Amino acid sequence: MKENIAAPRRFKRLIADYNSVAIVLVLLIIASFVVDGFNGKSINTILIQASLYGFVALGLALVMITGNIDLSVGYQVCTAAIVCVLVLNATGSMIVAALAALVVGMLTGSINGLVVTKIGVNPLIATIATNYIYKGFSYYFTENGALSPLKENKDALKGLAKAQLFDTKWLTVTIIIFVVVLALMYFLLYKTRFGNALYITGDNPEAGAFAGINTKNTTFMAFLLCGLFCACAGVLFASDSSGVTYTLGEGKDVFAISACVIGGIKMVGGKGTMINVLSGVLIMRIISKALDMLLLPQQWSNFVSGTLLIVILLVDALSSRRKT
Amino acid sequence: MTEERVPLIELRNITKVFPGVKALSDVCFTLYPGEVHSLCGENGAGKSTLIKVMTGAHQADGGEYFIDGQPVHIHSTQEGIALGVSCVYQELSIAPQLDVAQNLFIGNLPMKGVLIDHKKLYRDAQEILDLLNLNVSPRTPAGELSVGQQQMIEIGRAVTRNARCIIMDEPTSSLSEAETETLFKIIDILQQRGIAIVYISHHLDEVMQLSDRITVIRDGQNIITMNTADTTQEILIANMIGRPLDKQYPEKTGRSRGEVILDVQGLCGEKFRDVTFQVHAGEVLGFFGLVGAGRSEIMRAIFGADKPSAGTVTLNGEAIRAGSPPDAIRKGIGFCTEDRKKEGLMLRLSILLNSTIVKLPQLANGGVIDRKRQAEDADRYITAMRTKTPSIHQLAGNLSGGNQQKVVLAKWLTMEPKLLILDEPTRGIDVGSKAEIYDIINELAGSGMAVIVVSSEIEEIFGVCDSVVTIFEGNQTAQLPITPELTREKVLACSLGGKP
Repeated sequence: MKENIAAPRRFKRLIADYNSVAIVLVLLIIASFVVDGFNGKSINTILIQASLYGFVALGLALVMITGNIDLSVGYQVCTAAIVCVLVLNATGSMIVAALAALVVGMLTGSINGLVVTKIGVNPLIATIATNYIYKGFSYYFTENGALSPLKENKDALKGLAKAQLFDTKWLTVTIIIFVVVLALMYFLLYKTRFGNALYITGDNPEAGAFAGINTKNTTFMAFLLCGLFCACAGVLFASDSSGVTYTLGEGKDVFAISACVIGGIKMVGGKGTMINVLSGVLIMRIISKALDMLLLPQQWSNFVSGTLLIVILLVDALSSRRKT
Repeated sequence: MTEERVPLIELRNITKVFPGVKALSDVCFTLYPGEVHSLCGENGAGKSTLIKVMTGAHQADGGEYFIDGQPVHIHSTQEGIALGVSCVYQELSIAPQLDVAQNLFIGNLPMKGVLIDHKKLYRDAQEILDLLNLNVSPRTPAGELSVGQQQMIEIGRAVTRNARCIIMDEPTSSLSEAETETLFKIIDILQQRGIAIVYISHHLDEVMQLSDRITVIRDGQNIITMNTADTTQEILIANMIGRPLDKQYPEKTGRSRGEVILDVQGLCGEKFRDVTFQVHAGEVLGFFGLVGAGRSEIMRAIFGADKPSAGTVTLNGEAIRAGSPPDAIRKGIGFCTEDRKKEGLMLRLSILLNSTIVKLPQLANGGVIDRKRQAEDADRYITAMRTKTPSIHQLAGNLSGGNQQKVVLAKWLTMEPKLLILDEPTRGIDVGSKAEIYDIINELAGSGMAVIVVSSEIEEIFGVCDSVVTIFEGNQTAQLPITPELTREKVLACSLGGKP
């Protein structure tokens, strides 16, 4: 009896929780009609791009759920990418290089976390400051504007992003890694104490502390994981474009914040799911790809993507207002 | 006599429907100039909705609204204010950085052309402050005022807008006794100026003392409007809950005092000194004193939320580490804080998570939470306390005050504490839920739990506690067993610094 009543309600909740997935489908349909030559291959490109950019959004989502913000994601990506190429050139081993980059990611994330939780600096200010540090590092090592792998290491670096499973021509290793990590994050948020602590910290840190939750540690860990995910993105970006240019750090922050906000992560914290962040990432990538293919001049594509963002957020605001 | 006067506000057959709920149905309400008219009802009875219709925050789906006998349609609170209907809400809307004068005239600053007329601003502000008998400078930043004074500023703001009707929603819930007195005096002043007051409070003694008339609503319907002079508190309560409340407090039976659970020795902190007492298993110990006497600070120190400067806290013979709530929780102390919304609940998270938050360490195996057991645990306590909610997935912020308090209680009960500290457990809660909370406290003590109840209501102390510690300005003035011989006067005297 109880189950019968619960079932439709649960279904309704599911629809309400994941309506961003519908936006993804609608955008895909629109794009395939409006944009000449938008086909399976374009979608594949979108998926590959999404799996790179997605890591940044996932990391930022964790930080935003705790009610904080990280504006240094862009140059954390760039820093990790540079470390990856530097270590690769020094050792010749892509595995060592990737691991070193991930460690550096955790380091940059920890620095952010420490500044916010130990010194108590407002996260907005703190990460604007650290972003400059990571930016300085990035500029230092890309003196000619770019850092390339040595000739003998080029294939090792490119191999990661170009690798495909079962010769499917579309299922790249990066997509697989991203999906696995996404699934892990879903599990982490939904099923673990740490995941719950993230939401609690974002909703009401004071009440959380009274209930014995270490909200400072939780915040610190969120920043650390964000750094780690940025490093994952950094390694993949370096591999994808077989090298690093110093502009790699630009625009990733805005992209990630947009994707998170479209994905229903609230700036005040305490809300958001991984599935919706994924939708946010896909929405951003679809818009970007479609505008690329329309060959609009840069200023127009900026204008269009900004307007689309507002429209999507407006729809979201209107639908949530009706609910309450 | 009242028949001849034109009512200031008249609501006729107001109906308001929300998706799935009829919040108000055919409610009538009249308000005459210069009267204090109380609106009583349990949480969720429809008081808030009715107020919102009056102020223009909500529009009625049916019925008529008259001001001075003229039909009006108010579409926003701004329009309501323009027509003379202002509301002082529970949550204050003071801009802390701005000074008193700017707060008084916020959105309504006196202008000289395009510039603010500062001279007139401060002169007018001083006039309002004089009128309300408030001894603060108009240039003080509002954030430096006490909560009570801030509330007076809000009332003053309504006066600056030429309000003819001021609605006060639970105005005394965060005021000290002295501040409450001041508020009553201000209400008197307003009344003499012909301003009508709609007064809403869970403190029925205030309602009886202040109001000329009382209207009771229940389940969104008018139950009765009575002249205060012709009624009693018992009749009022019976109308509010729909049946006579046979007894507010349960019989203190089935309690047997066991061994010492909590032992506090010489505890000192910033706001209290040398506090020494014990709580036994199955005992309910009351803490009585004025707001600000240091009661909550003592509890925070016991729980580890603040670090005491001296003294020890021992639970079941084990020392509690100073300044560590997780340690206190692990060893078995639960603490329902005074401020539910700020320190007790995650309002945007589910009841499920809220009620099991302190039990997560036990519910998790290697960090992974057993969701099934979590839901069972939440369900058990939420159901046992008859919490009114469609499901445990509901957000805590959607519940009424009484039900939110039950969620906070459930949170601590899931960990089966040895000692439960309840700081003002019935603040802002309606009569019916209050009785239920008292029942729960009684059952817990009966099951052998040690309970501390901090309260500023003397009746509550006598109704639920076995003994009482009185606190005056941070000093422990007495510990008295509650016996039939103990008088309320004696406890009050001790809480005001007298010797037992």
